[in-house]
Amino acid sequence: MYYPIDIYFRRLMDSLEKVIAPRIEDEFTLGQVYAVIEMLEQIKGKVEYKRDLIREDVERGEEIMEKISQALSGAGAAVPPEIEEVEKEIREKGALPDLALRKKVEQAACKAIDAAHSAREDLGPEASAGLDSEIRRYLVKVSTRDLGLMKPPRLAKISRPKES
Amino acid sequence: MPEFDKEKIAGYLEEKLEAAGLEITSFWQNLEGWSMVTYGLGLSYEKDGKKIQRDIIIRREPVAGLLEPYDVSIEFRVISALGKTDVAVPGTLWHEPDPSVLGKPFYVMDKVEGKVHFWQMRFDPEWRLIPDDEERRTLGEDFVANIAAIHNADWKGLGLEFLGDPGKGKGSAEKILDYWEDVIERAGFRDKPVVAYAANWLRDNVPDWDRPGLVHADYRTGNYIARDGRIAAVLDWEMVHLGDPMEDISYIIGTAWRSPRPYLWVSHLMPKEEFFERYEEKSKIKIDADRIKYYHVLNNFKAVGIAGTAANAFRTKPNPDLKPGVFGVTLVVQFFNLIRALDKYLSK
Repeated sequence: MYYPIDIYFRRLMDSLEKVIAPRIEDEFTLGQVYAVIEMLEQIKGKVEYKRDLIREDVERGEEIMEKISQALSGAGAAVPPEIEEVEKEIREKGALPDLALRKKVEQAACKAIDAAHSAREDLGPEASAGLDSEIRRYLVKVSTRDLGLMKPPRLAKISRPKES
Repeated sequence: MPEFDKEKIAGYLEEKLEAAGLEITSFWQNLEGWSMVTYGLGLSYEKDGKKIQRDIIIRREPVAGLLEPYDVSIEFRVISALGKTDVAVPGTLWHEPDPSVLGKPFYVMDKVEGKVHFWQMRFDPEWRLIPDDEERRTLGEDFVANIAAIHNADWKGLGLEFLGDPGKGKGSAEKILDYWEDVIERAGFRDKPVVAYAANWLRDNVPDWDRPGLVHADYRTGNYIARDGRIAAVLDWEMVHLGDPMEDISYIIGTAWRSPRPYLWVSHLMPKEEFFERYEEKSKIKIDADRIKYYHVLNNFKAVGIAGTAANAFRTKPNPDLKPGVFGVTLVVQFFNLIRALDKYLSK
């Protein structure tokens, strides 16, 4: 989920200001909450996602698209134009750590996956199964990395049990 | 809660209950939910010359939630209909479609006394959610009996055709697949490579089922009220629909809902094999491993839809409740689970 960072800051600040602050009676604690809001306000324009992660997504997407387009071309099947467009952009500008490019790569990778699925007969059973494994390996790699970055959520502290 | 005007709601309830001198003697908001907003109210009033004290529950659509779009009337109509069957449900009172009363439509039901087993394992030195063997045994009986009764409910006779009959053959799976694919699309996550891959597999492998039944779609320990070792009420009907009972069975045996101790018991109640055996015996519906496998993938696809909807609600709806944001962040877990489920079946 790569929404603009600004959204996270805005929601956190709104919660602090509109939900938490009005319920605080202790003046010092209330002041600390407003200090947190103030700091978030000041830093929000200076924070962004880690560039290495975005670049890695672009590179991995490019790699799987290349494998798919080679397999499709080899079998005489059509290669979706979105793949060629994104590949061209990356060739010209490099695998920039840019969220818009990452989005384009993901969308083109979807087209590539769909094309590989549609061209199963053209590819033949063995090549098709091999390509399918490559696609899964790519998806496992991407999602495993993201999972590894996630901290265990403390949901029980956010939502109490349904006790009557 | 600032949005809950007690004076206004007291006047409203007095009118609906045809009561006099109504007072709200207690008020609480259940904080366990990640979707619907649930309020509890203790009431004191007079009716037909009698002094009455009772507790009611109000279930209201949220400002932004995990299962949009919301229509609280569906849950109300299903629970009301199932009140005439062997399924344990709370007694319902009325549905209020007018958003001017509480900001969003809601329905009212009786409060069911009891407790909900969930996230309380810390109280048992052996980390069992339900430490008492006898309680676990009787809850297990009711757990099977209720899901069997749900799956065998005469939904036509109960007036639940409005849920949409998926028909015979591939209808059940296709309808629910269409539904979740649409949810994912609306949430803005259809163009994720893992979703594209899973959607192709799910389209290619749709199973047949000729006897659509009522599917709860979130049936597990944590979504029922237990009292004296029995299931007093099955809760959380937000995703109820007509379809293949194996969709529920696959969800029920999902590892997320199984116990760490005893090891991997279904809903913390019994081993999987025992659950299958007892379910078949009680429901007369045969367990089908292939359809369970299919719905295992579909249920993970659905989890992407739920987390994606939460993420999208967090992005688009100014809502002081941060829970959709927290749930939305788990989308990466759902992507991982989805590809892991597919990889498990396809890499063999």
